[in-house]
Amino acid sequence: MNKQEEKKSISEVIQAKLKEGKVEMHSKNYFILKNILIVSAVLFGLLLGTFLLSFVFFIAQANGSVFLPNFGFRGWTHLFVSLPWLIIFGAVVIIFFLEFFVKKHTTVYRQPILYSLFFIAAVVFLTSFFLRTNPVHLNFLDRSEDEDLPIISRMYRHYGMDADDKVYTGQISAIIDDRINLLLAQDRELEILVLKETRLPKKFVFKTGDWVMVMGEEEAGQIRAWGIHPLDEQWGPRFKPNFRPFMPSMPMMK
Amino acid sequence: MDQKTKNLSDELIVQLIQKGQQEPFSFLVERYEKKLKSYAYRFLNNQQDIEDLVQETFIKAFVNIQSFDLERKFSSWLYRIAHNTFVNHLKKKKNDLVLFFDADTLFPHPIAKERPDKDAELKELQQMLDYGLDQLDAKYKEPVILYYLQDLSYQDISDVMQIPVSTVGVRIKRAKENLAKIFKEKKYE
Repeated sequence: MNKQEEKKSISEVIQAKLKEGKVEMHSKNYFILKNILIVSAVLFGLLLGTFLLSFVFFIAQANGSVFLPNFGFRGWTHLFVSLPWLIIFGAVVIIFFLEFFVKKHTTVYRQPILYSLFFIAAVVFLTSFFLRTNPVHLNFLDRSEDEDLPIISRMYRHYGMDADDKVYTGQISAIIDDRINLLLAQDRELEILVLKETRLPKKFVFKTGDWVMVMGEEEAGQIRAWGIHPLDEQWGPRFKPNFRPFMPSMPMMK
Repeated sequence: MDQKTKNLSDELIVQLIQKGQQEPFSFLVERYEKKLKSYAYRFLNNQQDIEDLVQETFIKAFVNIQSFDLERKFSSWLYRIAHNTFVNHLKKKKNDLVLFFDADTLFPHPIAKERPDKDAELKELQQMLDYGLDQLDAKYKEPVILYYLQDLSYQDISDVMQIPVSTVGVRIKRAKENLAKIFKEKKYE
């Protein structure tokens, strides 16, 4: 403020600025556009968060992670390690981003942040869970096998399990006593040894041609199975081990 | 400008401005200039930038007046702009940062009711506040200023600071506890 302005009251200074046209109000359209952009950003955030989290649910089903708890503590540990944490982290960041935007709304900021944060997380989580089997994911998965869609292909192509981590998925090619021959992807065959302590599903009889997931330790060319779990016909043929999201340096299993 | 316009409510004056009349804005400035100066004086602990900041608040209010929802209270809206202007000023000076996630706003609190004996309490508290306010954190100081000195309700303060109504009550309670400690240390009764 200059000395002349200091002598005047704020009211006079502002009135003078308005008359001189130094201050102009934003039009109604400006705020309409601004609101449209905010609503679009929130919707986009919701969609992206839901897409990412439903991808996590989808991928857990598609790569068999969802069955890992059937193998006991070792299965749980493996599930924890094999989750796509980068994508989960992305979804969490989006939830906080959404909270930041909706927090400006009267009905939201009048409540504790924990409520709105929990509400947004619940909406994204539940919607994602119910959308885990939606055709978009299957479509992307199928297309990613042949096409090179930016980011998407990498996300979908590199899913599966790491064989070094003691999980094998394949089709039973033969059953001889306590041994199962398992045909993995790209015609690699493994011999699975079924032991007393091997966790097996109750009332399920394995037969040739079944798709299964095996967790166990390799010893002298055989896999001493900790557990065997049957897989759905729909998912079995899709398994591709060595999935590590956004880490293209990881080789695909041969 | 006529007397009739001058006697209109804040919201009706804003309606006239939104329809294209600029002059009635000066009535709003006259109505709130003193209040905002007092708010700024207490909140910012110094007189140096207060004139500029209050002027900036009114200019921002004018520029954004088309976004004001006539169903809401103009005073809360104006105080919200002032709050943002003052907080940004504090951030620039790095005096006292107001965090996005504060524990008080994160968790639910039982709703703290507004006190019915507010008026009787007011005189005594104003004297104490003069002494102790400077030593309070911004997050406790501001609701006390708005409630006791600017006469805003918990709901209005919630709108100005964009925090839950229950948090306003909690902060005022803590501010009073802190003030009591400060006065005790200084042996001020």
